[in-house]
Amino acid sequence: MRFTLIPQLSTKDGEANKNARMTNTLAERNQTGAVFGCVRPGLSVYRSFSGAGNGIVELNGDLLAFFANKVYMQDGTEIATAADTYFDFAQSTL
Amino acid sequence: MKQLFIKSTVAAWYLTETINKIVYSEDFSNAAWAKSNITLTSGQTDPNAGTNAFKATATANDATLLQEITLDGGLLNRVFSIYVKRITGTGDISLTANGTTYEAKTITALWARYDVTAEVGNETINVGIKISTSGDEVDVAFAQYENGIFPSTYTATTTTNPYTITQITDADYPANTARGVVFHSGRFFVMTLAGEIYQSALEDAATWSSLEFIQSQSDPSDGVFLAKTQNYIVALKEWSTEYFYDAGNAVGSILSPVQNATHQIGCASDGSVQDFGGRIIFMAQTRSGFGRSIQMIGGTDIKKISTPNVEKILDADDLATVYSWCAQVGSHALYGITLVTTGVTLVYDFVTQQWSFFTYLQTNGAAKTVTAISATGTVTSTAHGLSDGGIVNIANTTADFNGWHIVTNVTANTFDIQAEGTAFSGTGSAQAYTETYFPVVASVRAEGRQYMQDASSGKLFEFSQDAYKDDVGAIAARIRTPKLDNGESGTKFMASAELVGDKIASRACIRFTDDDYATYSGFRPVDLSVSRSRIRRLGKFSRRSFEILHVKDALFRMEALEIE
Repeated sequence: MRFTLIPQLSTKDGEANKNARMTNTLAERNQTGAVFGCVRPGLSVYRSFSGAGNGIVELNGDLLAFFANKVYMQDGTEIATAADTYFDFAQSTL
Repeated sequence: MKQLFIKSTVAAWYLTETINKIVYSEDFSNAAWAKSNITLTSGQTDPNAGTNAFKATATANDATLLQEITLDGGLLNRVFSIYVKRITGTGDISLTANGTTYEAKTITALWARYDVTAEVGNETINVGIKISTSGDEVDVAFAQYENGIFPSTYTATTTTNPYTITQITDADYPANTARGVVFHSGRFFVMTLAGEIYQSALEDAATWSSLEFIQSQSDPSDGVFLAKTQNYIVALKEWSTEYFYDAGNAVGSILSPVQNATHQIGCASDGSVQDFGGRIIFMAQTRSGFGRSIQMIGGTDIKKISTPNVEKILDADDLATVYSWCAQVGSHALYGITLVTTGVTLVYDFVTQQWSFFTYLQTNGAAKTVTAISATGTVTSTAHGLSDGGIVNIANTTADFNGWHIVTNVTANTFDIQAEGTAFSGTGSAQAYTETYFPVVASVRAEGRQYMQDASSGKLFEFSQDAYKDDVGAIAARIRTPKLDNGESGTKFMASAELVGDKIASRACIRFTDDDYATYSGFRPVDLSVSRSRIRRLGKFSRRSFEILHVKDALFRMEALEIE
């Protein structure tokens, strides 16, 4: 008897550590239609800064990273000082 | 010039990027400019009657003053421009926009701006000026290199930082705003906590008017988040959601409300709101009863994507700190929400419409000393304190045993790991790890990578489908099945349970519970590289659930559990 390994998350009482679930596993379908439970993508450190993460945004192909009250480009160059709080972003089109 | 609006709830800035790709555009003495057979004399009168021009004197034929630039954006028309004035001589003065082709210009004794164009791709090139005849002299000032055919208004540069950030100081900009900012119809929009939506001047983030706002109207609750979907601005309030569109109003706000498109569904947490491909995802709540859900807005349609079980977990949290993010990696389009108080991260895959948990490993106490490991992987570590199913990193022993393992077969001073080799004796270490919530607070795609930002450690991550471990060294991939009873509750006997999936050089561990997840059997290792990856002699049961755990650095991909 064969059972699928892709359960929909289940809980009786809101307790997160009981019942059926996938943890760090995502459902994937292959070319034959079979559904797999696959380990999630991993987090690799791209660059280390310091302080709280206050948002990241893409601008003209560059990544701008806000850590503590500093703004950095993805190559680590500090480009500005703002404030140590979480930010929202919007870009004009011109 | 494109502006990036940056706002917190109490202040706002805008950031602009200079179009001039030259650095030190007025300081030709800087090392960024390569001087070949040229001497420079600073302090010359510039085109603006200042003293920022340089006299360039050729000390040999074909003297050059060049700057190296690395370009991106693909094949584009590029234009180099510079102000030049002839001082002495009559030889050719040439400009280059690609480092290989020089175009001679007719230079006069008066300041004039000259330019040259070239089609250039993603290359590193040298741009600048050449003096063909030794002894000739010109004054030069205000160099600029940009995309296009015609030079635009000159912008001075100094360092390699192409960005300028400016805080908005207009007294009419609201003192306190809800989360979120929207660019629409050439203007930036923000919402106050009272639900008033203010607009900036056209294409100008710095200028605001106290009279140019519209009040959200359907209910008096607080503004929570301002977002955008399609051509609508969406005011997410505590107990309602309202839509606005650009009505081109000549007086006051350009916005008008979209009639009959209000939902009596509000936003429970501003930290839950994400824009994913023009769809707004957020944690919702209603006045009609306690109960939260995850909703998705596209246009004026709203759709629930959470399941009742997910909603129970949302309901159990106090929402003191909530993070959320979206990511597109491989075949997965993900929305993640972290409830910090509860300590869980829930992740929705838009492709499979499946919810799962994400966790992250962190050290749990001090590392314990390992004094021996048997050839079959029994570790001796006095008072190790580990329990069955614990995750441990063995170090400073041998390559046979170092690495990530699941603790099984535990006694007070020993435990088993999933490795065999030459017996070890000496001083190694066993560091226990525990699972915590996924630490990501923000995510964005740039330059073909999915970047993620850690909430507190200062780490900027890349989230990659080619990585099967996190930066700590492992991912605890876990699948717990529903209760299996073959459709009837009578006693049954189970001879074996086999993991069906990809064959990889790795090992997982399996355990089961027969009492509704109250207690579990011990974890048993299963080799994922052999033809039948199974455990045997599983005894009798009525209703049984299995849990599979894998922590190795390998592409763990399982299809089914086959039971005999």
